[in-house]
Amino acid sequence: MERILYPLNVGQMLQYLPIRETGTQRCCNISVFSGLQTEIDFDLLKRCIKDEYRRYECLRLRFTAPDEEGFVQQYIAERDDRDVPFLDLSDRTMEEADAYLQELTFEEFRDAEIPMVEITMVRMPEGYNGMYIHVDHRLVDSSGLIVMVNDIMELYCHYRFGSDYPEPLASFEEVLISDLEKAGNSKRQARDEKFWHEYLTENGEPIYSDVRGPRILQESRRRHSDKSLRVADVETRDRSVGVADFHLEPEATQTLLDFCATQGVSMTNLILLSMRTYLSKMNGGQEDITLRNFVSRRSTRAEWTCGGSRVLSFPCRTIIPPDTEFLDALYEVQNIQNRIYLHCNYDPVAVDSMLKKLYGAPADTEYISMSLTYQPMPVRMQNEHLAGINTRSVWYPNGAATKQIYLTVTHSSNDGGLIFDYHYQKAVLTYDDIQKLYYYMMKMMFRGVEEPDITIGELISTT
Amino acid sequence: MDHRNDFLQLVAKYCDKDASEFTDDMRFREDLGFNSLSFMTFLGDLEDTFDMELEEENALKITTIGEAIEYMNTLLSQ
Repeated sequence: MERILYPLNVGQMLQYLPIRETGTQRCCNISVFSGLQTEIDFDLLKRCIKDEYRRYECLRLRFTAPDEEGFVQQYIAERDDRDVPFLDLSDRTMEEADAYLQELTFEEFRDAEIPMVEITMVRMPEGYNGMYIHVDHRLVDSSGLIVMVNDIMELYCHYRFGSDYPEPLASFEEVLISDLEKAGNSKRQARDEKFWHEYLTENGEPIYSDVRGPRILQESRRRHSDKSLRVADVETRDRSVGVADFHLEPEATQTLLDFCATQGVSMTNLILLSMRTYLSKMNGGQEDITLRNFVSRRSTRAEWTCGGSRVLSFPCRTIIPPDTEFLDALYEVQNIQNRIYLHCNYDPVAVDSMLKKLYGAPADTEYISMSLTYQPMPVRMQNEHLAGINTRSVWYPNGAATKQIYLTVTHSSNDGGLIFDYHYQKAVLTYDDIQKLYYYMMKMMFRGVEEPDITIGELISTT
Repeated sequence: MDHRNDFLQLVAKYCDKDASEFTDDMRFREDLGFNSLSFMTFLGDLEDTFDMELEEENALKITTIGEAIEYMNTLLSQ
């Protein structure tokens, strides 16, 4: 059968560019263990994983070798009949087992036209059994990965307990074709480009802010001999990543969710507000703060289950004076985000280039120090046959921090509480910096939720 | 061209309902499960499908299917 070659969509391209720049595929790896604290029939699980290679088209994506300009194309292999390996780590401590899987994370998918995912069945310590998934980010993002794990477990429950066979997953290829058509819609492109140009110019040049305070920008100003510089230098040599995880209890999480529902705002915007308020606090009450928000473009039913990488990131800039009440500030963030959502089919790389070109930012500098991605979908395993069984999901960092602080917020599969997972650049930040950030974010969020009419200035000075 | 039918088919792509189940008083967020991102993406799709340009401020005030159809018809008749 003749294979059809497609270009990467914008989400995949965003993942591919760091590979092209750094020359290593490692920075594009996602590695996760997902399992249950119960006995698992591994022969059956193997059958389900093999089924999944057939059902979930994106798992069969292959990439061509880069062309002269360094760009690759993709196609979907007709089948993948590989065996599924098994790994027994049950005789180790959990720490040792995690360290072993962490090492595997660094393995690259080096060649062209090879499978870009490896699913291994694993027996872990403490009675946990499940899968270790090592995959190139262009095949799935976190939503896509969760869809896959849930689908495999639905298949397992079907074969094991006779529950309903899961609905088919959407075709990656069909959604990709639709994405590429949208990207080629010249009217849409023109509208989006106009929006982004206005968005990036309406308030002039953004200004950098850092959790370590204004000295970081001042140091860059000295280094560049430019007192008006509004960007800061980025550490590009040492990209080693630190991880700090915090768990917000389910009751406290519910308080935030209830507030969001009552006020008609999203959790993303509430978290963004707490992040920007902390940056404001640490930078002498700076009103003009820009964050980076990652948006998973999954809106239609097909987009939810087609896999692929649909995460794009855009700058979220808010200018909030200190006399603004918390709730009004929240609506301001929401308003900006809604405007961005309407134009988020646009290429985020083009937005970043536009920003740097507009203000002539020097190489290896940034306006943004913190990024957020909020993942509302938990690894559900909602099948009644799995109810009450402890689950364990571990995301192993790929060892390369592409952002100074990258916060991923998810819902715990065990209790529904929020997990704040910070990946930070160890060369410039410490665990204590991140712990302090989390502490103040929580303090500010809960104070604001309790007193929505408190002003941002008061929130900054009294927390 | 039956704009109403095409419009409802477009809405159906975003939720777990068949187009025949929609009524004009259904609210996008509360009844159909739209969130901020999916609603704004839907508006973008609407622009592309019907080759029109929405005014953001007016579009954001839409809460129900009936209001959306009325707004769309107004734009298409201009």
